[in-house]
Amino acid sequence: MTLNIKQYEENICYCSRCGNCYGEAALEPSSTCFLRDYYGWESFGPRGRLNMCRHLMDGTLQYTNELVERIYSDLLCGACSSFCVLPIPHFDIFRAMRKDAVEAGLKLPKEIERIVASLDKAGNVFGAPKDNRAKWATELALPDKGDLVYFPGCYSSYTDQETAISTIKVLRAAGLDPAILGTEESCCGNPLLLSGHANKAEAFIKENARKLMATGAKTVVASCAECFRTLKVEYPKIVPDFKVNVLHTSQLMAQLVQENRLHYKWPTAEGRAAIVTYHDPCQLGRLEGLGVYDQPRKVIQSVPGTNFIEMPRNQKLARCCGAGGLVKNTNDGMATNIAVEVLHEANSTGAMTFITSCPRCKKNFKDGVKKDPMRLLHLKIVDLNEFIAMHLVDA
Amino acid sequence: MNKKIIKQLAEIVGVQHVSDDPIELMVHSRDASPLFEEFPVVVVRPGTAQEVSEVLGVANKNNIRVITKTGATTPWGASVPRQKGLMIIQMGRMNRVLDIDENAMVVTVEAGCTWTRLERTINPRGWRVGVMPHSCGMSSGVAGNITAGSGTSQYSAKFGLQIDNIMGLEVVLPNGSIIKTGSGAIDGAKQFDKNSGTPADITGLFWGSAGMFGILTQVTLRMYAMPVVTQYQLHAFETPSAAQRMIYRVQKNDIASGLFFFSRESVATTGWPLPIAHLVTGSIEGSNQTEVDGKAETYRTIARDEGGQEIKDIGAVLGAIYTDKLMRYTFGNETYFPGGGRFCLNTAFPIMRLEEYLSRTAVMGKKHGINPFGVVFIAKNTLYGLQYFPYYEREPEQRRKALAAGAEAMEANAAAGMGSWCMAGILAPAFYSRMNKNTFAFIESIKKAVDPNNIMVAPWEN
Amino acid sequence: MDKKIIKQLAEIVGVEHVSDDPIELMVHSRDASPIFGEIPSVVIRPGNTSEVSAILKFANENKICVLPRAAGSVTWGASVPNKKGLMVIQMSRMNRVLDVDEDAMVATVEAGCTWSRLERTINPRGWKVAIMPHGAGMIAGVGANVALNGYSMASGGNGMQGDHVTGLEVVLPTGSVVRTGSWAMKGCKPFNSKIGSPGEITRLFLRSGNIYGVITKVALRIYAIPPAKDYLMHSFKSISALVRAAYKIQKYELSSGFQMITKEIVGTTGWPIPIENMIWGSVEGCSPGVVDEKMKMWRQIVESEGGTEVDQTVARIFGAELEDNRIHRYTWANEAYFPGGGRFQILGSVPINRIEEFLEITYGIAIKHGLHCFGLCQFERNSAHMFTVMPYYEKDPEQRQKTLDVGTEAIKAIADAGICLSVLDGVYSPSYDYLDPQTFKLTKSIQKTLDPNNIMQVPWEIGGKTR
Repeated sequence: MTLNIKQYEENICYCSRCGNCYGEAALEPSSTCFLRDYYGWESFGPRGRLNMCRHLMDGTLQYTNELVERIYSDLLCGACSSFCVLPIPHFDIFRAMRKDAVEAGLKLPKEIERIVASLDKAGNVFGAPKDNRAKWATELALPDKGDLVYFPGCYSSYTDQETAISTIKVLRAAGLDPAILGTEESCCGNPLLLSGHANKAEAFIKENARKLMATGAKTVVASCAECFRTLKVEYPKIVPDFKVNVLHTSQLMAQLVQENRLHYKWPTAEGRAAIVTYHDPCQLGRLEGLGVYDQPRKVIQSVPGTNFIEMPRNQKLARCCGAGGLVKNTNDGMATNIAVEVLHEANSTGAMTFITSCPRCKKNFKDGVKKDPMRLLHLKIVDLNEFIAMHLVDA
Repeated sequence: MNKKIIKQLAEIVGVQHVSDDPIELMVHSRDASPLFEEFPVVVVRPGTAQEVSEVLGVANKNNIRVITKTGATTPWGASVPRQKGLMIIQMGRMNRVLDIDENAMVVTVEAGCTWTRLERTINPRGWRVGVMPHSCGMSSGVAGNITAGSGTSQYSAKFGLQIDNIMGLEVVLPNGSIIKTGSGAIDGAKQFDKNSGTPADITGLFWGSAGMFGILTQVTLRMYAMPVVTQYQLHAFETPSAAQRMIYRVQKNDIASGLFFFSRESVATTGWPLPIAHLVTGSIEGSNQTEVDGKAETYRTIARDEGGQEIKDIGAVLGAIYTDKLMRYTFGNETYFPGGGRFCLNTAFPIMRLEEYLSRTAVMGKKHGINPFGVVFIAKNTLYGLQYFPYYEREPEQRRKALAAGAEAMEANAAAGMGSWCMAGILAPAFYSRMNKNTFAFIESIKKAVDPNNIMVAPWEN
Repeated sequence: MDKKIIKQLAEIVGVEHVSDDPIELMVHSRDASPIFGEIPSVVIRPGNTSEVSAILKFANENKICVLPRAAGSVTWGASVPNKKGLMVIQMSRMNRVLDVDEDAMVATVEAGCTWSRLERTINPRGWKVAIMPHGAGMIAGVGANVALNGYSMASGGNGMQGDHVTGLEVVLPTGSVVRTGSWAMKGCKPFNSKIGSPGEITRLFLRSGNIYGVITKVALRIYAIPPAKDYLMHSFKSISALVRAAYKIQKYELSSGFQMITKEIVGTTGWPIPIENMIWGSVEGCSPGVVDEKMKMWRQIVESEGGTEVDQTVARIFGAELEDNRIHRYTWANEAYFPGGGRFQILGSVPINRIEEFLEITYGIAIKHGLHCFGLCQFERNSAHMFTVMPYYEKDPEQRQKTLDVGTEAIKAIADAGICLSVLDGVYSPSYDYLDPQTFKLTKSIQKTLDPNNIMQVPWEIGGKTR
């Protein structure tokens, strides 16, 4: 079997085992690798995994089921890379390990098998009926062709419909006329890239790309950070013709703010006093150097009366919400605990509203609130699009 | 490892803090050095000094030999098992800042507390440590820096080595006794002064002795007020002899707080927009601008006198060496060489032998077809040179050459009367063979007294 | 002592360097402390390291206990025999300056070399030592101050003597000659104590250097005589204000030399200054401008705490006498300020904020017993090394005994208050009751290994009895 990690051979050998990836960077209680506080074992951290890659390439270690937990417990959040001083693409290497695991036929966590099966069956991660994918848009009469296409993704289509509905509300309020693929839309394919099923992912990507191009879209906008990253970075790799301009809703909203096309209600007294904070999703900011930090902030601060306070760790240093790398599926308890920790940090800002721009982050944070209501129930967890929508002048 | 022993260890530290999982053991066979070494038989992570003591009890009873580690970031192989059958005691769980005593100007931390955690705790209160290690502050533990004997930084010019700034320790001896060195050895007295508290200053025993005399569990360090004003300097020199004269005069006149030397070869690898020359960078601190200006003027005069060319735009150096708030700097930055491997040679010598040192290591490297490059710390009257012999990790022949070149350079430097400050791992051979026999016997006899069952691995083994 | 033994010792050092003359022996039963120790059985004066080694081997074979000494200028009784039958090894013959290495900025001397001799050798070349011991510079041996890890008022900015030792040559109790630091490596000079061996073993010989061996050579850092230096002195009505000012001065590392003298001492000096608590300091720098700036900050700090500057001339004279006196006549006798010459010094090391507490406890006990006392302290980086001195008439045995008893009570009181005792031998041997037993055990186990025949006098034995 040709190992997928071998294409990163030189990068893997760059590793000088300095430990920055697994060390302590910012504030209490956590480390660079947010899992260090949970596992603490060397072989569960980025440095240990790179060490394992050396042995895998040398043949002194084989892909066996003993490696599965180590490979799939990774949040794939990119924090290790942001502190590494050498050119090591951790995100790519550790996904390549997952690809190897699949190709070696290892026994994957059953939640991963379930996601793959759901996607095979119904084109979404929930295994929910395909026909229900566009139910959220029933009343909205959205066209299926146009210059601007909105890609809600699985979460906003099925479980977090407020985000999708809010997105449309905001875009229309700005005078835009977004189209959707509706029931023709399938999962963006990212869960399969994360699980190591690259071939299956490719199929999804090709199909979606074809359909998006068929709409005549010049711009595709996604409200989910994961969909955004996948459409922007992965799609052109698989489909070189996919030359559509891909934006995240925060980027588009920032443009609309710039063009003065969003009009807000006059803030109430309560609104003026309220503090809001913002969580930077990994797949919008840190990963792949996408760096979408300024635009969400610009949008938030365009709402009159907003009192915006940064999270203690923000932007490139932001903590992963805990749901990354499919860990939400394989280890929900740990993912929720991480969310709780992030929300405790949010408490230090005094915020009552906690904004993020990824529905997977939003779901995990909401679970976090439920886990520690005593200290977190006051926090309102909302998507950025919801936040904007609720402050717009009524049409 | 015998499952019964694993069980006993689990009863001490908790089952989630013991591992004999083959993959976990495998990843502990490497550290930041070029070495590929033995696998340990068990890794244990104690949470308190009492647990450390009990774990050593098990080791003693069952004749299991022990090494200790935290971040495993020494480039010379101090943190890997170099023989079979070892237990690794991993100190990373014991990572808290325990006490900040602003009156005594000391801070006490657990052994595995990282430098980053420590600095970020005390910086907001206006304090800093003297010697924040040059690299790997995010992953290396405070105790490791002492145990490895490696504590240098660009601020060693003023603050000396790490041990100069240690006010006391809590140590678990190989026989399991928990002791304090320094003023804390007196019941009820606080730990703030290493010069009192015991007949004979035993703190120093634990410096650079690779844990063979005991396992550090707490460290008390001096804190210093953040300087009110700091100014940075950078000068380029054509020759190392000019640079060494400048460094000597600056140290003699006690002007700079920080000093650091980049050899021409290492500057060439950085890609910084700077002249390819020997660079000396300094930081000058004081309580007000006029004082700092005064010192800086003297500094610059000396540099000019010795032919140094002042470089005004020092942004790149500043960020990397001095002001990175995240303390990301590691020797990885210095590798500057794709392929990742390096033999890191540590040599200590008086300031005026810098040129000799550089030329000798270059000659040794050339003999084997390797181009070494390096940096030098300055601590009071001594220079601490780190010379890297780089190679591609994937090319065994090149690796062999680099290791051979480094070893030969080490021997040559030692034969010329230069020392090493870290005498373990790949740096051990040249130095133990040259050590005064009586001194070595003396150290061995202390080890015997303190570790009668010989469970702690000594740095001169293998 | 058996005449055969004397003869054999004479074969090692020469007959003119061994003495069992009763009067010579008697004068070795005292040092600069209040203690009248045991009278030794023989005094021997080796001239080089191999003679020291031969003496110790001989002592091992014949089970004779030894005590090294140079000037005997220790004020707490570390230099007097604490049991009968001892051999005193007098180090004063080994008094040469061996090497001044300006490149490494290190001077190497024999252990019995006096501070005066060393300074007078290096001063003309523009160098000085960091810690010139406060008293007895003319006769005290370098080795002794190193072995006891001394401090002086220069400790404010310069730490302790041990901080400046770059290497030692020591003869272990069994006669083995070891070198520490970089000196341990073949061909290496003694320029750095922290390299050359695992463990900074140099430090083992600091504090109670006697117990692990006899120091025969010392390599010490030398420093350039600073281009600029000045002195200042301030008086305070309240000690708390003085302490707050002193803390800030140390926090911002302004001092080179720094000490506090209480009004009780000032009262006895006859100087033309107010009878108040004083701080005196010296400030060094690479140019007069730098020194001025540091002094400006110093003055700001002091004045913000209500201190008043004393005429700088006095501060400068004090500096000249204490720090820069090339003749180094200054001794603590100057501080006795009390005719009759006896003094009991209570020594403790505290963080700066506990200076008042130390003074309160010690003064309280002295006053309770109707004794006179005065205090001072030498700052050392983050600590204050306190002295409360209780003088007495040497000729009045009753007063002497009372002073010793009160002094011992005071030592116990400060130890009970969790204050660290600076010294653990001589009159301070009660401090062993406060030493953590495991640490004590470690110290003894190392000693036992190095000195299997137990020939070195150890401070925890009094009259042959071990604590």
